[in-house]
Amino acid sequence: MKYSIAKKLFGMTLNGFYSNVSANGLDKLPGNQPVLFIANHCNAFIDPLLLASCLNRKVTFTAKNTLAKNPLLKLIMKSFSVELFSRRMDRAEGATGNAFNAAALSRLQNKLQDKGAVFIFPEGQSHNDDVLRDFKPGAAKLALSYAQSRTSLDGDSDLLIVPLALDYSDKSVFRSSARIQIGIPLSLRAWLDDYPGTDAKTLTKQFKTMVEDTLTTQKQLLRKATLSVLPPVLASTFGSTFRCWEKRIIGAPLGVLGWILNAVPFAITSILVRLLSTDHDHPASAAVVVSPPVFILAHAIQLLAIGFFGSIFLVLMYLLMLVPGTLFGLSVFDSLFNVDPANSDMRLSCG
Amino acid sequence: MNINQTIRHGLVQRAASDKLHLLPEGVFAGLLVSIAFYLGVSSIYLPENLGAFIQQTCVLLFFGVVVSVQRLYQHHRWVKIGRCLLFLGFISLLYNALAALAFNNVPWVSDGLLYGYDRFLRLDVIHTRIAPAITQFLWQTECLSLAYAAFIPYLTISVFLYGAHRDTQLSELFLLSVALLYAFGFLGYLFVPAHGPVIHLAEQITTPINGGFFHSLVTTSVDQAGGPHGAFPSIHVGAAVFLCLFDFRHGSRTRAWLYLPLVLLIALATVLLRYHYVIDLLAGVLIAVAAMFVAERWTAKQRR
Repeated sequence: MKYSIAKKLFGMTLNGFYSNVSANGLDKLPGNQPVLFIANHCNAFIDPLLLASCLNRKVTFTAKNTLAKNPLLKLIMKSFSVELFSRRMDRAEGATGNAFNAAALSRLQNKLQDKGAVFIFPEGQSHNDDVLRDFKPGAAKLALSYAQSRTSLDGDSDLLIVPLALDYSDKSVFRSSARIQIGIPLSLRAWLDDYPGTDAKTLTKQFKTMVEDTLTTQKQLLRKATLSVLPPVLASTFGSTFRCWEKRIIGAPLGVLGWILNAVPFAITSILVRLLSTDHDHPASAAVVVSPPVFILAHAIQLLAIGFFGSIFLVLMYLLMLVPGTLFGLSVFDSLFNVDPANSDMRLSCG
Repeated sequence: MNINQTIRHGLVQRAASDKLHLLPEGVFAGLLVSIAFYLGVSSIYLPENLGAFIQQTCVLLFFGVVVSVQRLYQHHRWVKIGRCLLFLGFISLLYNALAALAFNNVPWVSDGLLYGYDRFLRLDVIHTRIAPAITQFLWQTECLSLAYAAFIPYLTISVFLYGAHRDTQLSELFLLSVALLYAFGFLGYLFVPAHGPVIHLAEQITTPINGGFFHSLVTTSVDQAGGPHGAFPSIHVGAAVFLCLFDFRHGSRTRAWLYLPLVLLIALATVLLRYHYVIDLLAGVLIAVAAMFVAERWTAKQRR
């Protein structure tokens, strides 16, 4: 599967699971320059998907190589061109060693040489802690080896290290929200000019500070946004009132139809997610990975059944109503359960 | 400048920027003038057209009076509503009038040509096999007829929502696009007159349409508008596609998704109820896109 197709497919499922996927600070990102993204890691497979879905640019991700044992994950990681690394803590699980990592690091370096973007989780593993864990030196080593491989870091060759803060209102809950805050990028050339002869340990500490600052900024911005929410403004025009009722009168039945059409695949996905989740950061990842094949297969079977027992007309109606019904089904869910007060035009509430 | 002068100055400034540009009316006027001119010239050798020419001239004069009044009172709230009513009125008037005009004055009927295109594209099976198979069931015909009929409220609601929008630039863009779409469509009615498969293939497709209340509502309306005519292009589909496209591009994406099933059902209904050939639908989509494209370029030029 190509990167762009995989990104669209899993981006859709991500936007289906979370009611509000947003990225703040995209204007800080460079155009045509090598970029190293570093972020906190709190939601397993969702974290890299969140970034991939928010960026237009292709990003090379990194992951532990024991994930490749799962054939579905292996296929997904191949689509996203994920570079696999062997972690020391996984050596008992059969992970291979330093030569393997050196080869992977070399490929990542080549990606940066080609002005690509690489994404690394310096913490090394997903966790549920409120604070950042210790950063491993891998990201810093990559940055420094890139600097050593170049004769100069002028202009487009300069490596930008961009810190990200990934935040979820409740990461395992359906229709909660997911946010990325993009922090202030660090120019590797500027850092090396200020701190010549810097080592990986020092740079790693700097990376941790950058991610912490970005997390703090995100929390402050969220608090500000929550405090500044004004009471709903009354609909001030006939047009806006009419549009609101139009949304409700037509959207609600469409939404109910969407629920009916998606009830079986949703139930199957929920059961599979419950079976596959052994930790708090597994449900969302399991849902996003499992839902595409389950939904595609379930809808195909439903369509065949309708075609066999019903008529071609019913099949046509099913196909026409499927996407809008699903969209408004989610909208009805959001309006009924108000899981997250995120602002969405698709919601059936007015104002 | 004292406070009252400042407020008045501000109101005048706002009023100046909200000035009504009459491009949409200009498009309709152009169409009406062309029809009147055509009737005038043709009444020289076809005296029976004289009555239609006089009628068309009166319509044009009335149109001119209404537009002038509109221009005079352009800052009044009701002018935008009046504009929408004018548009809908003229669309309906022209649609009804063009049936007789086209078939009486243009020496060819294009049903054979249009069906030929469908056969070339191997789409004639839709008319000969699929449509009769679907429309033999009452509830399926009723669904399609309801969708076909729902086009009128969809168009009306959208014309008022966007035509009377407080953002004058948006309402101008919308009305200009609608005017262009209908102008392109009516030119098609005039120069490519066709009755549609319901007449042309009546002997070939003998399976009757099994319809109920909604289907009889549709057939009655079509008969009152001069019988099946104006097959090419399908303005039904073109206008529905345009309204949805406009929502996606300039309006509310939610509204676009809300009406997308209806737009697709309208497209199906026009063919399955035997009012249009498939090529008519393609032409309808084309004129919708063309109208949007031209209107956007014109209004952008206007703003500069």
